[in-house]
Amino acid sequence: MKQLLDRFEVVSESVLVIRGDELLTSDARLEPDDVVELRPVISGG
Amino acid sequence: MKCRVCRDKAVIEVRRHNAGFCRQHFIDHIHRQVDRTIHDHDMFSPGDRLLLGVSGGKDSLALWNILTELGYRVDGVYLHLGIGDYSSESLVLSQAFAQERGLELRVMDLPSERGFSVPEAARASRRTPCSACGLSKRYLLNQAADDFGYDVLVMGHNLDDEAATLFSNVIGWETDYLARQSPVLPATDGGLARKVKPLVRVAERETAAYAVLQGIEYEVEECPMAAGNTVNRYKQWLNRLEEESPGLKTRFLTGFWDKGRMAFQAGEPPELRACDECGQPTTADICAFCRLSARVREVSAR
Repeated sequence: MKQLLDRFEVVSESVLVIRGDELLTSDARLEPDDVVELRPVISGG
Repeated sequence: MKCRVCRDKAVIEVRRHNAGFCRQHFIDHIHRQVDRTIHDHDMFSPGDRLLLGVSGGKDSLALWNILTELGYRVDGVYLHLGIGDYSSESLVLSQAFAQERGLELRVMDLPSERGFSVPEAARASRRTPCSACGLSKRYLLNQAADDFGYDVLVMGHNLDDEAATLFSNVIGWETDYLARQSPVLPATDGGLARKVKPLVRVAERETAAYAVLQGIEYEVEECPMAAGNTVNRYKQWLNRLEEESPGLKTRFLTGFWDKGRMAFQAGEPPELRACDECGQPTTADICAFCRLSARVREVSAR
């Protein structure tokens, strides 16, 4: 999962990574067919 | 990764605490953080009537859930700011949350009650949308507390909000703001309600995770008016630093509370008086919100 964030240059503090209804930690392994959501957490103003 | 408490599989890592947590122990951890913040800062007194500013976003809905689970009775107020579908969707989510839990949500509607929306106010006053929005929200929330007889306004500002605001105030050396930035803003004789921020020890990513793990439906989309917002850019920068140095945001903010703020509090706070137009507290003859309203009317009449 960390490789995914690095590949898209996403700061891990700024997103949640969600697969189905589970949150993924940085050591989670992704399978080729997995669909994950990178959900931004920054909001407000 | 294992849960620090039970050694089950972790669902979230909190690097600044050098810990992973399973769902239940993360929820317990967040509840403890908020409970500790409330008590460390004497935020509420027994019998206080509490009014939470509800936006439909993750922070305010997560905080409403946390406070309710901690046993507090808190009512909510939603401010409809007239920002198109975003405002309407946020209202629906806020109402659904309140209804499902039997909580009271008051609704104030800027366009129907005041005759203008935040986008219209921004255009007329040539303020940034976030500036016109912030001014309107501060005014309306204080008015709601006053009109409905609440003792404390509860706000959903989280660690990232406060750290980014502090960063912004330092960049601009806004000494008046630095003197006042605090988890608790006391009520004033001039009519400002007591304001408290129980989420200041909880990072933005953690309130989002809490909302997801508790099944709270919140407005995931960012406000369309906030594109390019400076404070959000500062949050990104601080998150890059946090990634390199976990705990940096907490150290920055709590260090300021403990050691920095007092340096800016030497002068007398500005004296408040009643606005000649509406009676709400202000440092001028006419408050900034009434001046904003007059400007919108003036531009609309052309």
